[in-house]
Amino acid sequence: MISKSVKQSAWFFVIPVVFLVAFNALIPLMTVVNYAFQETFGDNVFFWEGLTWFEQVLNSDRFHDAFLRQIMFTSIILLIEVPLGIAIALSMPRKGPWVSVCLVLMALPLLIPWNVVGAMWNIFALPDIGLLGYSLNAIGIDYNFTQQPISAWITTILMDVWHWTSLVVLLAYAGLTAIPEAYYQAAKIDGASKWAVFKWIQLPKMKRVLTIAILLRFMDSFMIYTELIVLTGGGPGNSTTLLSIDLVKLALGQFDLGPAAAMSLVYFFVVLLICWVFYTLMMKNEQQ
Amino acid sequence: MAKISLQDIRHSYLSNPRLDVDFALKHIDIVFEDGGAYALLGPSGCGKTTLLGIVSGLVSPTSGRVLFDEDDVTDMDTIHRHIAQVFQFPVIYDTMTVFDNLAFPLRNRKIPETDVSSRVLEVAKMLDLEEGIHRRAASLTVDGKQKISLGRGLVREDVNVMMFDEPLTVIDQNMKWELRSKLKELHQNVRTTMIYVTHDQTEALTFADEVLAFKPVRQLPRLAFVLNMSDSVSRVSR
Amino acid sequence: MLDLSWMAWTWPTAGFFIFILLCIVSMGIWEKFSPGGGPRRGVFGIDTTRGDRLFISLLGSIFIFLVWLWAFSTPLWGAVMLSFIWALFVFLRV
Repeated sequence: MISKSVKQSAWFFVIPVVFLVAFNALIPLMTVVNYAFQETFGDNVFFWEGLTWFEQVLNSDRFHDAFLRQIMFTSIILLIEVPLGIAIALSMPRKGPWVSVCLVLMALPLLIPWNVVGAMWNIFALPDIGLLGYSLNAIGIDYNFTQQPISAWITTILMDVWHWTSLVVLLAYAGLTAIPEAYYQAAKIDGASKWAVFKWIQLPKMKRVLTIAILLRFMDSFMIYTELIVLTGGGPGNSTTLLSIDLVKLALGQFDLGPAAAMSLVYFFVVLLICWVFYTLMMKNEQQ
Repeated sequence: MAKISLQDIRHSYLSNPRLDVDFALKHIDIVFEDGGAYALLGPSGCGKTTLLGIVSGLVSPTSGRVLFDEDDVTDMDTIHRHIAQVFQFPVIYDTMTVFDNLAFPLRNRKIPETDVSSRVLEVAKMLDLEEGIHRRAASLTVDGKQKISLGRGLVREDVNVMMFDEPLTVIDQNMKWELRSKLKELHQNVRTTMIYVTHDQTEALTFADEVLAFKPVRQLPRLAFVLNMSDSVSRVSR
Repeated sequence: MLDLSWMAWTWPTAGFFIFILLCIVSMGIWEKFSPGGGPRRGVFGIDTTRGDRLFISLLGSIFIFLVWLWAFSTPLWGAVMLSFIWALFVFLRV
């Protein structure tokens, strides 16, 4: 047997990542845990509160409502963005000069700053001056996203689809272009229909990138804040107050750092659990 | 089963070829007799794969005609030519079982399920794939996967020609020998026309009754090999 | 002296993180003296290594605590018991 030589100096190269993770994730997370058990009125003076905030969050209707809205929002955008993204990726050219044109067009929404996305859609959808809002009202559809919850939801979802479908498209496209030509040729020889090619070649080969795409969209949809605060500000009423908006209202608006910390921990664990279950299920049949 | 004739085939990957060097295949006239085992031998990039593509219909030639027996199939699409092809890397449908992989070409052609299953089991037996036939194809080793690619050609009874494009490239040295003898044995049993592309002389000579050797005629600065096949294809018969 | 008062450390929360750290360290020691080997297939049909099982135990315990707190409020001794049973189950069967 050949004994493997272990170079201990390799650990040296891990140090930057350790620091990055410590400052970026570990220290903030620890601080949030600390805050979740205490009350503060500023000046770094804290009072131990035990599990009060957790109990309060778990039994609060406000949290339940925001959580339900969040789940609904996340499900809707995933149900739209994933199939739409795959469809667009499938219809994009695989080679030729149009590839770069399509890729740049697709990447554009991702490059726009998030608050600008919110502002764009806000103006676009305004019923009196916005192109979308004005046209809808002109053809007789009663649409006003600053007054009607339904209109606000539709606008929010449209904005998110416009902003983030590209991410799914780009990932799915990367998966598609990685399929060797021989698969398509073999499928042709086997007499496979277009649907069969999609089902048995393209979809299985895209599985890994799609898993990443769905996970990213899932986690990011829980973080939606900037675009939404500019577009609707969580309103009308509380109708588009999703978790992050509610969290910021609680933490900065009311300076309830303790309850906000407890709330963010609870929803962090929910996100963690769902992601873990999803990832495990997707990867279950990979190594057999 | 059919005799395959390539008549005055020229092929270029450019849209507007003018010079001789623009052509990947310059001038091909070959007849593959029904039931023969042929090997196309030559260095990479000399147009062997293009030639296979022209026979299978994956590539349509710039000029010239392809005949199966007496029928002109030059403009016919792949599925109607009833051909089978094994590629350099095994092509399997990962999410299907071995059985479903083998049944796929038959099911696509709407063959009754009872015939499908008897035919698949027969082929699986021929290729020693019976064990674990209901396991996922992705779990097989690379030679097992290549056998599946081969099997998908064998299950169909209407195959005019089976083509192999350097099928043993990714196979282990000792499995190579086994698969090669398996192929030889299959050819003796099923008597389908087989065309085998390789750059390995031993492979070509052990497999084929007739070896067509491709030589690059001259080297050009940018294109590695350009072949004038009309005067460089030499036939070695046994 | 580095001022870390904004982090608001308390002994109970520090204890929580020390507990997690001890879990990871003792997993390392356990692995060194008796390697757990590759992943195995458990009752849920998923492949897990020892590290995965620690993660599942901890994540599961968090939800046991949250549900207990929501349903029965304090004290949490029942949740502690359930978490230990859960962790034992995960390490033996999953």
